[in-house]
Amino acid sequence: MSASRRRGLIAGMLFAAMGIMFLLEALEVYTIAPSTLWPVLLVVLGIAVLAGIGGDSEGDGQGPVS
Amino acid sequence: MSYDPYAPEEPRRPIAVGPLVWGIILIVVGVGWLLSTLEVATIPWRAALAIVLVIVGIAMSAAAASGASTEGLFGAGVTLAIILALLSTFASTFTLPLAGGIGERSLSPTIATLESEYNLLAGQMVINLEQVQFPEGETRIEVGVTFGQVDIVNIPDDVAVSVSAHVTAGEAHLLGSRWDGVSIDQTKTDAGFAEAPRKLVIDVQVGFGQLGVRR
Repeated sequence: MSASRRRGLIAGMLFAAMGIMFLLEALEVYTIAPSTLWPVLLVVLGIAVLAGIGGDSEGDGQGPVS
Repeated sequence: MSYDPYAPEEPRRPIAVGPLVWGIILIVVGVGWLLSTLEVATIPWRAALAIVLVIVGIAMSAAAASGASTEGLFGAGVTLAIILALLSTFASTFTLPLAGGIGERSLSPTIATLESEYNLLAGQMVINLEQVQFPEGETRIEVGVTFGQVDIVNIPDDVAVSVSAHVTAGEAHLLGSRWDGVSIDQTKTDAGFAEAPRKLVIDVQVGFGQLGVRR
């Protein structure tokens, strides 16, 4: 699997995981304190941004995917 | 142009998953909004947005794995995550009732149609209890309005009332008493409530706006 595909895959899985986390919180399965939520969100978004860098432009042998 | 069976096949264009997912999201949100406006269903918007984020994540992973375009999905994922975090912070800080539809509601329930919970995201709601013949014992109603005004009016005289109200910012009129400002937390109970045969307990949460409870 090319680097760009892997990065898109990682960013997608992180978004799905965040979605599940927010869904459980909205359904009151648990609560997240804002003081915990924002630092965690920054870290996760930072990882997603790093994973997404060049995700659509790096060569993977199939041309641009955009 | 004549058909040439030996002509090389044109390479298939990869499906652009971004516009596809966005199209589906817009349709789902539009239908949800419409159902909410028509009072067919109450949409829990925070949960709905979280589901959309899950869909975006799965679509992005699937697109990346298959080599299709993920254009637009990354920005959508980041935007949704930030919106959800803001809503979560807002809800936990201000204890806002983030549920219900948008618009004007004028309700005159009977005891048969009286619901235990009424929610409105934004707008104006009037709950007229004139036609409700309350049974003996305790009847409970929970009301939540995020932005706007709610009035619970014409409470029958043969019912003793206890109202607990929280208004994040705005004004509250409870059975003849008035408060305004931010973080209003008040309870008003009729004299003789404990001994009354018919009791009505109202729990109201208003985010930003006005609340009125009167006979």
